[in-house]
Amino acid sequence: MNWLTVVASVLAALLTGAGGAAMVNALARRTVTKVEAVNRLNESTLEWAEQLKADAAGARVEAAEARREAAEARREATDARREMRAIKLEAEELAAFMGQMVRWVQSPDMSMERLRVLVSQAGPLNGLARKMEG
Amino acid sequence: MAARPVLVLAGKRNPHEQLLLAFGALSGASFLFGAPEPASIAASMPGFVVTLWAAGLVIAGVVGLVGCWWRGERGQVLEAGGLLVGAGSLLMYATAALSVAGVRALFPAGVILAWLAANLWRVVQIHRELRAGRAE
Repeated sequence: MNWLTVVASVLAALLTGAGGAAMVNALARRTVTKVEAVNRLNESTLEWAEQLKADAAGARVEAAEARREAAEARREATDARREMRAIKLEAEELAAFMGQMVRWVQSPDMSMERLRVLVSQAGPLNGLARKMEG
Repeated sequence: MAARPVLVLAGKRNPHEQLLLAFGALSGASFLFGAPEPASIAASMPGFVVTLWAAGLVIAGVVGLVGCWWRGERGQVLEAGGLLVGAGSLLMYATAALSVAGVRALFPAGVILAWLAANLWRVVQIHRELRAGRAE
């Protein structure tokens, strides 16, 4: 072997070694982990991400509050409907009593005494009055 | 007058690189499986070095091609590794050809040395691209 071959062999060995090292480096290289990814983000991006996270948390809280308010409004509407039904029933009872009163008054054999008795027996038909008594 | 936009046309793959890597892998494999190796190599190197040389061609070709098709940084490093190993084998062949045949081997050795230089050039390109990518 002449000197050229020796030098070339050494250079070839160096190149091959560098190539092998690069291959090993490529194969042993692990994928970027989450922590490294965070480190690679610059500061403004991190601030933006934090702001976004805070906004998302605030939006979640507001959504929960809105859901709670909607549930309360539904409950109040249900109560109002129930009260309206009760008032309607009382008005119907009152109208029926008034009709009965008119029929009693217009009856040909009705006297003041008998009307007083009938009214007192019928009692306070008004539901509100019953509630107040109760 | 507004400056004209610069349109850069570049293919995704380099056909010269890939075909040379494939040829290197095939020829190296054929030498390993008994095909007669080049006379200059056989004359100037002991048998086990010839085997290493052929194995180097195979490894360089296969790994280099895998690196060319592997997306991302890992693929580029693999490609660079294959090209460096290939450069070592090419240097051995060019030296053997020049030392055995002298000036008569000017053209084949020149082609091989150009191939070697292209490998190193591409390795430098990859190194710069990776460094620029990390700096961003």
